[in-house]
Amino acid sequence: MDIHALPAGLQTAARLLDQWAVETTTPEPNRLDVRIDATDLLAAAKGMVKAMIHRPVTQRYPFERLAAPERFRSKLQWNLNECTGCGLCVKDCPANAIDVVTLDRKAKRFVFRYHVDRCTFCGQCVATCNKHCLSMPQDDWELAALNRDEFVVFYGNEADVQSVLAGSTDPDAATSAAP
Amino acid sequence: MWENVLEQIKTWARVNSPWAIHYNSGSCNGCDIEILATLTPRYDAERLGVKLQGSPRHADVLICTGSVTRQSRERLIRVYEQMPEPKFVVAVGACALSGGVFRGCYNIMGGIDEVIPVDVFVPGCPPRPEAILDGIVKLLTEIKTGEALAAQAQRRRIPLSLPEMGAV
Repeated sequence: MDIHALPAGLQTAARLLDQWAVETTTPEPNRLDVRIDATDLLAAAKGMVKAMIHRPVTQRYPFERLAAPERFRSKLQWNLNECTGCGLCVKDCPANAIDVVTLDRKAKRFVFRYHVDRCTFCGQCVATCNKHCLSMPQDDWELAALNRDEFVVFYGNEADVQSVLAGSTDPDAATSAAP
Repeated sequence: MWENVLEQIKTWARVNSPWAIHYNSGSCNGCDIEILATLTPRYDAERLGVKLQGSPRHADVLICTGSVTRQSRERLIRVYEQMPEPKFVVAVGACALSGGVFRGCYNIMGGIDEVIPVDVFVPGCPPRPEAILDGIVKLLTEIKTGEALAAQAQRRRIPLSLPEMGAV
């Protein structure tokens, strides 16, 4: 069909259409030539079989508890027998998470108050302690609680802790230091 | 009888799909990264139905990290207010619990619970992904037994207090 036989508007439209058809059907020189060969199929099949037989990578944590990494630091533990009440751990703690209340230094009556909610688990207190009475075991990390009161932990003799909790030191205590 | 059944269905739905939104009110990003790790396939919090939402209006659980800075306080309250009832808050990390190493700074309001009511506290700096999962499980257990809702009903009677600027 002769294009010149058409009305002027249709002629322009036909030309534009022609141009568009040429533009879209001409292959771009940069376009990658996609070919699939046997190696690709083999690799795909390998991946598929692997995905079918390997175990899921997901840990089953709330149902199955795995051990923490060897050097993981969790809740601080305190050993009364070794402590001299020097207070270096209190000085070094960057988060002010530790208090040592001295009821009687000679009789070794200390109360160790530890705020789990402030602790950054840096382990500085453990490194500082001369008597090695502090430790951060690796497996005590399930600390989530519904109430913040649970995060204030007292270590020490039961009677001493009670007297500190009551807000008073024992009458026979020689020295007392408020936190 | 019908109300009882309806309540059971609601509880079932709440326990099985706690959609979460994460808000960082002044954290160092350590806890945020651990939260993201909790959502990755290795820990896969979606097993428990936890799905991160982009909008507080689609979320049931607000996962908060970081101590609350003065700038962030009003935004935190706004995000909390935008969430539909019932809403639960999980505070993750030492800073979110008490302010952590920033406690007592001039620009820090303190922990999350100074500003909005918190249901579960997860200590750690940062907590392990397992520890965060542990916190989520404790929250879901509380929702299941109905204690969380009871506690919330108690709380709702108290209007959200807006502490004065600088009153730390």
